[in-house]
Amino acid sequence: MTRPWRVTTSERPTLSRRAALSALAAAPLALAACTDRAGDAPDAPAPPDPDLPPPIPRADRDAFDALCNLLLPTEPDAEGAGAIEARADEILRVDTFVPLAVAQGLLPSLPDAFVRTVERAGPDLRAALNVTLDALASSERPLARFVDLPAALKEAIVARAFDDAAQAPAFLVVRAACFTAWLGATTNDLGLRAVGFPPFEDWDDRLACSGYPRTDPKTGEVDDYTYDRAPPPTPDDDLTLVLDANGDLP
Amino acid sequence: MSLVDVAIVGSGFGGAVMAARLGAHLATGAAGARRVLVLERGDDHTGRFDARSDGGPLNAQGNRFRHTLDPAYLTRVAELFTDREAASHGGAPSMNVIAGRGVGGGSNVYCGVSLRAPTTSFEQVRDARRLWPAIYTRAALDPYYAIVERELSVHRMQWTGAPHWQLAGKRDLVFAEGCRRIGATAAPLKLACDADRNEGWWSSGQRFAGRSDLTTNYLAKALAAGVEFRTGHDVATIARSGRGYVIEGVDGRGGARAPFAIECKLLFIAAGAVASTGILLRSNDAFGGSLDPARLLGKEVSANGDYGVTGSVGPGLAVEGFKGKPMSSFCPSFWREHRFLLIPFYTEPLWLALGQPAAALRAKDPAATGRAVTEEAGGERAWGLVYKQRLRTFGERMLTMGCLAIDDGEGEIVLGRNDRADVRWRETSRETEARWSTAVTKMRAIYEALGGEMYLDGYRRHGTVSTAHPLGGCRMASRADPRGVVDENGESFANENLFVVDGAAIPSALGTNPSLTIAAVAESIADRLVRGVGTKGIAARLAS
Repeated sequence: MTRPWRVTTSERPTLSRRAALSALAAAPLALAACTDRAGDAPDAPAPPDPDLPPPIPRADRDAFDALCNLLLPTEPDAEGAGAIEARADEILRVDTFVPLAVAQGLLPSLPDAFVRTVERAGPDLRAALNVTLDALASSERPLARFVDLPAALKEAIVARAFDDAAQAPAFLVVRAACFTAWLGATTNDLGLRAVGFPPFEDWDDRLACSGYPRTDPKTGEVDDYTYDRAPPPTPDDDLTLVLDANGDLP
Repeated sequence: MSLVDVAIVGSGFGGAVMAARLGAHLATGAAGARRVLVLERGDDHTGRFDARSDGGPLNAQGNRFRHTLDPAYLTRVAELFTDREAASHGGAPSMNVIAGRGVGGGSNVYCGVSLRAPTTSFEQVRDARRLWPAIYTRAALDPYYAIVERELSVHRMQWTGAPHWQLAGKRDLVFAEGCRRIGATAAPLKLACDADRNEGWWSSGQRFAGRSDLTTNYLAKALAAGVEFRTGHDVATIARSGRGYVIEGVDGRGGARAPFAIECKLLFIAAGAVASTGILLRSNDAFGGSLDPARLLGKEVSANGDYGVTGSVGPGLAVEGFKGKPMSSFCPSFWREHRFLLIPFYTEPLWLALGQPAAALRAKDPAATGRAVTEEAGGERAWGLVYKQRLRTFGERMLTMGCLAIDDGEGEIVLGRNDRADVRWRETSRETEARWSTAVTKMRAIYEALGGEMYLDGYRRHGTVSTAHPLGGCRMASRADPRGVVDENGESFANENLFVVDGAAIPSALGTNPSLTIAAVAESIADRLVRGVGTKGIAARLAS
């Protein structure tokens, strides 16, 4: 199996191979920076961990990235990928994302005018969100940028935005993009692995995991999903009174 | 305008059975050379039924599913799983419907659960009248159930001693243990599946060959019998014509929106409960109101008592619900007293994280099921590090379950904006509320008995009923007591040779997953039409 985050460099228009390789070399420090815990970083950089996703270079970070990192943070461990690594930004480039997410129940119905604005914004949506976030930051601390605010203040701003009827739709869209990227395996399977799913059997052919027995190529152990054993009977609950011989309710 | 002898609108469990049976019958030449056409609104994800269907190349699994952010692809997949006409978010309180789309209809999204509806489901009475026409009893349908089970390769899952593909999964054993701890019992389900083929995931990488969907059986037989298929055909209205009926709509293949009109002698509407009802609602004026003589069109729509919740079990219990089949067991212990079943199932974590069962809800009144009884628990948010860490238990410990129950047909289908069928849920009856409340209490008890916790659902929070099993809208009734839209053969009371043969015609909740019953009812109708027993035969109809 090919690790998705290693082979999708060419699918990421905003992250060059050189940038990815250079970021990989500085993985621990950059990851710590992504989580706003730079002060907790180890004194000396450890060798890059091949199981860690390549972090987003500091220079790429903006208010949008900071928002993503609040909504679905990166954690500094092997399964700690968050919205940024899952490429929430790419979801927002899909101009039909909002109506699709509404149709699937992943977003509540949003005002038509707002949906049209998002569709019209297209690739400029990220820039528009940056302006919005910086404006909200500035209302807290004049001339401050959102990315420069302390984590607690950022969180308070976002929490208020979700409660504000005018601001909420934009934040709901970004939240939906974060989780869709993370759990929808749209660009990689990092989010699914973070919640305990096994890696895709074959990312190139977009095959998820098989539920049937298979041998783990690393450990040689058979991965099974059955126990092949019957549950103990329940006293005073005789199913032969409830089901017929065919397994149906009579 | 092209002319066919038999037109079937929709290729789900009703349409597929009619296509196979009538196609095979007419292919024998019993009624001369005849042309049967199936119109399907969605695409052909198999590439076998309509060479002009959109969808791109087939992958190694023989379908057209991919992981990609291509907007056109995402639109197709979203529409396969969520039929826009069947998915309503309008109205309050509302009813959300998950509906299949594409060749195979609901079988594209079903989990293969194939239980026969119990006797009591057919014997329901409302206003002192039996809801089902007299010819439908469990005993009368049993032979047709048996036919459908053979066609769909229905197998009963097992706890032990079976081939691997027929064994229940770890999730089922955990569920069974939870049931046992509250004094109930779990049993393996009957599933439409065959041999060692993987079900896998749903919208993210599902292998569609994993179960017996209709393209592998009924529709394959129809195709072999010479039945034609046209995909991308969205039917707007029907009307009477000189030779029978004319179907009008839009052919969306190739990205075009080309109007079409097809004339037919016999017309079978089988587009699903919501879409079929929508077609009749849009067409009723052209029929002078004769499609709805009892004024019941769109009324008494059932959600089949669907009520889903999710939650996590305690540490140390490996559910691993993402492996194996999405459903393999159920708990029938409460049926006799309360008329509901409990079923554990797999749900996409994305839907759980963002969809209706928001994980941060708690009941103010744990015993209550009704609306407006929830609150955000301790300010917990559905985003941020804490929420993310909660989701990290999903892979191993997430357990979703739901009940299927008898409800009182509290749904309604009306025409909304742009003449689109809009599904609404009227106020839940006291009986349904009580049934759901008991079911939720039992499900909560199972989670707690397993050391976990239950998260609540959209119904408590918003009053939104979500169902994958809409039934009714064009309910059948007997000719002797025509309190319905169609008769016991699915035929319009006032319009000969116009039939509704899918979930729209089912007159009540079943309390079990309805695909097997919809197909069995269609088998029985096809049988009577082919043999000319209890109704005019198909050959006579085509000859006249």
